[in-house]
Amino acid sequence: MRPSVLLALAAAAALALPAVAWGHAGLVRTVPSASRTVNAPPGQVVLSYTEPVVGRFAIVSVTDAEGRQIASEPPSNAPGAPQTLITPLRRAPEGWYLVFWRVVSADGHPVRGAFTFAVGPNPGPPPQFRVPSLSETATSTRLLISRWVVFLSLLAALGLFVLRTVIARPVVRAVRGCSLRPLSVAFGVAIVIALVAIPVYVDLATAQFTLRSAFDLGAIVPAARASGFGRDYLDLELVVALFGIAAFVALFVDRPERAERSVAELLALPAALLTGAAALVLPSLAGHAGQKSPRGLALPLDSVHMGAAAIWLGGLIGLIVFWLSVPAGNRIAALAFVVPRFSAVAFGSVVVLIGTGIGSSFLELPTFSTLWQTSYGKALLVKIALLFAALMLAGVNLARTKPRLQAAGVRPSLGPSAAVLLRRLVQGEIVFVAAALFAAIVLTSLPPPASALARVKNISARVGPGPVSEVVAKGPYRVRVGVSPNRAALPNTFSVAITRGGRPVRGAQVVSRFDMLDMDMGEQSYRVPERKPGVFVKSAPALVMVGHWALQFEVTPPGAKPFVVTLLDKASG
Amino acid sequence: MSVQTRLLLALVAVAAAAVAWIVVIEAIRRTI
Repeated sequence: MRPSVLLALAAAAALALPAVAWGHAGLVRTVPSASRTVNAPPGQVVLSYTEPVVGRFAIVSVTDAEGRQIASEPPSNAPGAPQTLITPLRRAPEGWYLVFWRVVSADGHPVRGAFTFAVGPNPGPPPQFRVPSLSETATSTRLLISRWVVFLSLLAALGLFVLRTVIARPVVRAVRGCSLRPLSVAFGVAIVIALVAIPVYVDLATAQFTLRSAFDLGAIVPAARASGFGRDYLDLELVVALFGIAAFVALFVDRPERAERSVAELLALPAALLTGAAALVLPSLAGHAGQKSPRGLALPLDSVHMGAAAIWLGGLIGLIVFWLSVPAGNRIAALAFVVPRFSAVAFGSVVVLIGTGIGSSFLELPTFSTLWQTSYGKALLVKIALLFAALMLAGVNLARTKPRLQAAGVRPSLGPSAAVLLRRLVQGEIVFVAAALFAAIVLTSLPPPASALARVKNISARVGPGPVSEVVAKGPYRVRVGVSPNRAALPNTFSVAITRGGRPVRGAQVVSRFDMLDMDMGEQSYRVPERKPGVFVKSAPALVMVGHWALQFEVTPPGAKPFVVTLLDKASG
Repeated sequence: MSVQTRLLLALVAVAAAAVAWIVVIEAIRRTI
């Protein structure tokens, strides 16, 4: 391959994005509204989410300033509204209340949050609530590894099957003494690993999400069946088993030594390939693609992305198995036949992989900058870098090894060194692709960036979690913004120190605005009074929830045009 | 192995594909 083509491929790979990912329920509406005062005691707390949540696994606690529970019953789904949870309350006297919630969303992931509301008419100042720990992650090591094994074995099985039945099959007639049996055995091993790994992964994931032991199967199995995530993966187990059966039949009736396929072969092979394709749809349904609009586009992009990855990864593994199993005397001739055929298919797969990745990126990332500003984006960049490395090795194989193997028929001296180089490069490629798959697994365990991030324009800095002291230059002005302690559901102190040429700017008007980006809560606005020359300070319980906040400070210096400093803050619990 | 046996086995593969897609379509219907 020419360097220009390689460069173009590399550039495209730099934009390639993952497709498989998980969705997460987001809180979109609460009754009573967060941080607002209601005049009569509410009979219940109503929480509405972006997607169905399982009432049986939800925890909703409503406590007063002394930590007394006022929820009278556990939460349950509202009739006919699987996205809504209702928690009945005892009669709540005047005062402030903290609502803490934890739900398991349709994809099986736990999500937590908290907000406050007050019962009036005179609730008094908001107290300092003790917020339970709000950090929870689906990225524990054992979950990541088990998920990686599931995808690695599934993709390897699919790719090995395609290599064995479509790409490498004619080698039996072309090169005497070649056998495809080792490829069939490798496929069998991969599918057995997938069949064992899928239920183990569902067990571990459900155990973590429902806070139970992985050995408590009496509780785990009903829980897995009750969540959308668990049902999709148990369906995947069934479909992979069916793929195993169909593929076994296709391999059993296959007679590669004959020039033309029989009717039985022509029936069994497409049936097995179709069953394999079915297995690619279910992980997409269980992931972000299943929750992402438009699903008609997100789901096919995701499934085709995985299919292309399967043909590439499984084919590479198959090449190594083939290399090792072919008798040394036939090796060069066999490789000279199989490698060009595989290269052509793998090249197409990589193009499709990149195309579908870019397509998914438009659906998954709200802004281009989220690529390097969020953990999701960073995991993605790691994945792209690993794929880039794999592509470089693939490029060397295409440009040097393949032509040498083909020329070995005329110049036998080229053969052995080309074969050894091929094995080393393909082994390296497998390591990089498998590592890129692991990066994709990490990625799909992180929530994608909040779509509300696209709503905020001209962000001066991203801050938090933890206390903030950020200096922003705006024209001739320098503005130091402080937020302390930058924790949700507590009164926070916001300070704005404005200087121009090193001198404090007196008499400015400063208005702060707080906009919750992870759910729709309405904007809060405060005037920030001047406490010292050029220093404006306000203490307010403005950050009522854990999550992403747009903090905007509109500064109007005396006799000058106003300007706005916008910080994107992450408030912790 | 007779032709009939081979055809019967191939039909098993076709049936497996049909069942797999019924499972997938049901899962899609459930999600959307």
